[in-house]
Amino acid sequence: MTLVEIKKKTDSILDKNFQMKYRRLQEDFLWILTNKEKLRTEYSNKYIAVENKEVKCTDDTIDGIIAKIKRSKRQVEDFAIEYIGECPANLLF
Amino acid sequence: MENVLLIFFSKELCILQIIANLDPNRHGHLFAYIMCSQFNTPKPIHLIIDTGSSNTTLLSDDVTRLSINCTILQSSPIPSLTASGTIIPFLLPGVQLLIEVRYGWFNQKRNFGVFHLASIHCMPPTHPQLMTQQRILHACSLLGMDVLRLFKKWQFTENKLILKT
Repeated sequence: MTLVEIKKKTDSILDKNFQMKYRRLQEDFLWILTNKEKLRTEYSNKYIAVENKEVKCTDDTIDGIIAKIKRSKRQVEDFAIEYIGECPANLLF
Repeated sequence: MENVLLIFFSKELCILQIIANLDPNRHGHLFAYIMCSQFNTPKPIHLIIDTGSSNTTLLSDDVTRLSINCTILQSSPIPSLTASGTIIPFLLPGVQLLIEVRYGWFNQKRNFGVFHLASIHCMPPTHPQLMTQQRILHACSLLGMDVLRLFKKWQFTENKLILKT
């Protein structure tokens, strides 16, 4: 793909709607990050799907939560999906 | 074409910033959108800034969530060394990461920078050529040194990590 093709492709996407959606999802991810301890008490060891700073659905597996969202005729991309561990964990990659 | 390109158009010469949020362990978390050859509409992704990762890498949960078909992807010719052993990731070609950047006087202007990557790594549910389990669950994907090397200055504040070109 050339630079011109990449620019054309992204220019057609980066409209006002995209920016609004980006901001909302960014806020939802930030909300999960800052409220993780509170979420841990209720959704420990679960995947959560958040929309507008509200937990809309949960499941034990990533496949399960995707299936639930699709069953409700919504798009997976509309939600901030995160796993909430039982306790805070250090990272070692 | 280079392996990683930052595509950003502005009438003024400027330094670009991306701002990550820090968690209690001081890891930087970044929200972005991803596009690739397997889907044309951008999909959201949560990335952790990982200087220990050579390549930007999608971990198993995101590979599943983004419906990436690993069976049609090529394996990386170079194995990856991880804390839990050697793994062979798949290569997802032609990826664009859309990340919000700040620029201009006092960094008041906001727009999207397009990071074009020739390929990124995907951690498969389990690589068919390996007997060992490769699936890495419950962790968010990694923004690796292939992208991070574009940022020369790193500034930590109380709850943000500011990366500057």
